[in-house]
Amino acid sequence: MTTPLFQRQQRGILLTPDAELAELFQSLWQPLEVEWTVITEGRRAMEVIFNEPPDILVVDNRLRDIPSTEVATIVKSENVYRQLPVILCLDHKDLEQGWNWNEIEADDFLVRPFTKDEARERVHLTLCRASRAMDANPLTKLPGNTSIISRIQDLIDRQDDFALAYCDLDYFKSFNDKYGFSRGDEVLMMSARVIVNTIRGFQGVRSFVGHVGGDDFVFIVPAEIAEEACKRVVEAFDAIVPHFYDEDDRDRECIISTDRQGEVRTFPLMAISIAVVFNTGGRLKHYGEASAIAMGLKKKAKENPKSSYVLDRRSD
Amino acid sequence: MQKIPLTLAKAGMKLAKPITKANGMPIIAAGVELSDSLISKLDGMGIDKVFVVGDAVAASQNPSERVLRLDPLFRRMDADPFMMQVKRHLREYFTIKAAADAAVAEKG
Amino acid sequence: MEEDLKTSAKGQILSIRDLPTLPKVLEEVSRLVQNPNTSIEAIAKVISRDQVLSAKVLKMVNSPVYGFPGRIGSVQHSLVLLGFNVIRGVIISTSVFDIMSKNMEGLWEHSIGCALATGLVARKAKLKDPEEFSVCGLLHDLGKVVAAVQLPELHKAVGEAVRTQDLRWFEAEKAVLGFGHDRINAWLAQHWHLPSTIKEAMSSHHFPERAQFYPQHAAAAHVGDFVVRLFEFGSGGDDQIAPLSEQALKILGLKLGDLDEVLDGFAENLGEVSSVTFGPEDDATPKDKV
Repeated sequence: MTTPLFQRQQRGILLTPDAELAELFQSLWQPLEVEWTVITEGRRAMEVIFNEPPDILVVDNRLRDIPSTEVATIVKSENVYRQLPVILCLDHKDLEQGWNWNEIEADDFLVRPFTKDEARERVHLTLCRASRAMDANPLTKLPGNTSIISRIQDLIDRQDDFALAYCDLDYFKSFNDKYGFSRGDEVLMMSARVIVNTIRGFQGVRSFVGHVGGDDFVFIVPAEIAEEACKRVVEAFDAIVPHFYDEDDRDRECIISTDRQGEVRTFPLMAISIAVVFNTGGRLKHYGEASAIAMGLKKKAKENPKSSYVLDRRSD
Repeated sequence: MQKIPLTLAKAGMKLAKPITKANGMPIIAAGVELSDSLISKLDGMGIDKVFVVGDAVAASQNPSERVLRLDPLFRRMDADPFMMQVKRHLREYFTIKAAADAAVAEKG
Repeated sequence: MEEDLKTSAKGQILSIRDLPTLPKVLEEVSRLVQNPNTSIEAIAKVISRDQVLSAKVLKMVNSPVYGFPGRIGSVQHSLVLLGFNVIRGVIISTSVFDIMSKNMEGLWEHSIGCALATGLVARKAKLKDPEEFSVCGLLHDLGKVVAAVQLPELHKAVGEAVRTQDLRWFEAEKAVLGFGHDRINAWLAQHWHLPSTIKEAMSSHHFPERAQFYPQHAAAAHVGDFVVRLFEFGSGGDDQIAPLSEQALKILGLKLGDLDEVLDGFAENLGEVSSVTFGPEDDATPKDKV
């Protein structure tokens, strides 16, 4: 396996009285890849888990002092630990009576006799799946902040030429205020599709689309198609968004709403603002630089009440 | 014979009337079979309608045909005064159209 | 008895999984989507001429899965939101009618003719979004297609009644089924979360005066149906004119004389509409409109 699966060292806690199992796990990974802390008693483990939650928890059903299911349940019942993936280690006979996986919210299980390959791959799969799930935006299911940051940093480190575009929706708040969050969500789903399909429409091009949260989206494309991508996103968004308004607002091309003070206020139809930062010739060193430049550009884009994009024209 | 827009002309159709210059001088004789290149040429000359042999296009667009079809189409509407009014209006419309077509054909 | 038939028919109608289209149409669209460089516009143009493909993309994009049901009424917008991969998936999973019956082809011509006519009516009445009106016209008889596939015996019986009793298709449906394709349209449009404008045009085009929310869409489709029947372009299942509602014209702010311009436009544009989709069999190389 040439490309490492994980950006940093993964830490796992293995709860088992079984020395063989412990040895198996220790032998499968270099400590720098996955470092295992083996604890032989469940009760002792709980505090360690709570204080220093690992990236993955493997619990042997043969634990003597506390049932593995109880460990899993305690961990999953706390929102701060819910994302921690849990793998159970079982014996064949344990499976005979069927498990209520709704009650016991484990993420996967391994069955004795363990094989090295299966154990290794299952652990990898579980770790990858967990990071995907945790990071996905709950509404659009697009990758979130963690993935976005790691992708940007990765491209910077490799000194790839790319354009990083930050998009958000102007007047989204006033739309939500008048039409409610449900319809606001519809607009976000639509925006996500518009961006994804527009970017994917460029053949043979490496790209990435992420959803930071709320009405903030990010896309990464090769520098040479950045402007065209922005044009197309703006065009598609402008053509479709009016259909999310009621007829009268759509005809007027603005929202008229009364605020709490009884003041009548008008807001234009939503527009998409895009700020594009270029990394050419390896000029960026850290993703933080990129977002700082983008924020500056974004102010400019937002000066225009209509959909618009601003490209970072600096070159050095 | 039918007058059709050039956009509808297809290779294999035969000209029913010659293509002429504004002064009446024939450029392409009647009876000539249309080919894709000839159609393109006509398009380049600014010709937008041609007379072709047979009813190469559905009788839909032929106003004379439309007039004839009014009675059968409206056959169950005799008792409806509005529909009869509509029918009269349409008869007039298509008759005028058919006459206009005939006038153009005369000149050609 | 009638209620039972309606209920069971509704179940069968809504359980449709595999709505087929005409081979020629599918062939052309399939060719287009094989080339990843085909523009969305080019695909939209061909799909907009086919009631089944249009219905499929509208249904998919308005599915709750995408997150904005009932919002999208344009084929072009649908394709932008579905994206190339999904569109291709829809196309390759679409089948064709086994028996290329003349009736079905006639219905296809009738529907694209109605799309053309309804769009022209909307423009004449100076209504906004004429493309959406065209879609209303395109889909106005979709219920007949679905009935043909899902209720084949009843569909046949309706045809019989048309022939033997000289009825219009709609009248024959009422006689045989107890309800018409407008009711079937209403079921489909509701189930598929189509936008209200299209829903109402589909379900009220026979009685536009009964339309509650979007009478203009219903009225435009009504007049469109009248126009396409007048020219006998394709077939809605019978060879009679549809009654033209005076109220429909009022709703659109049109007088009888205003229709002349619509009729002119229809005759003129019919050529383009029919030649793209229904050219003669020996068309060796249809022009690539990419």
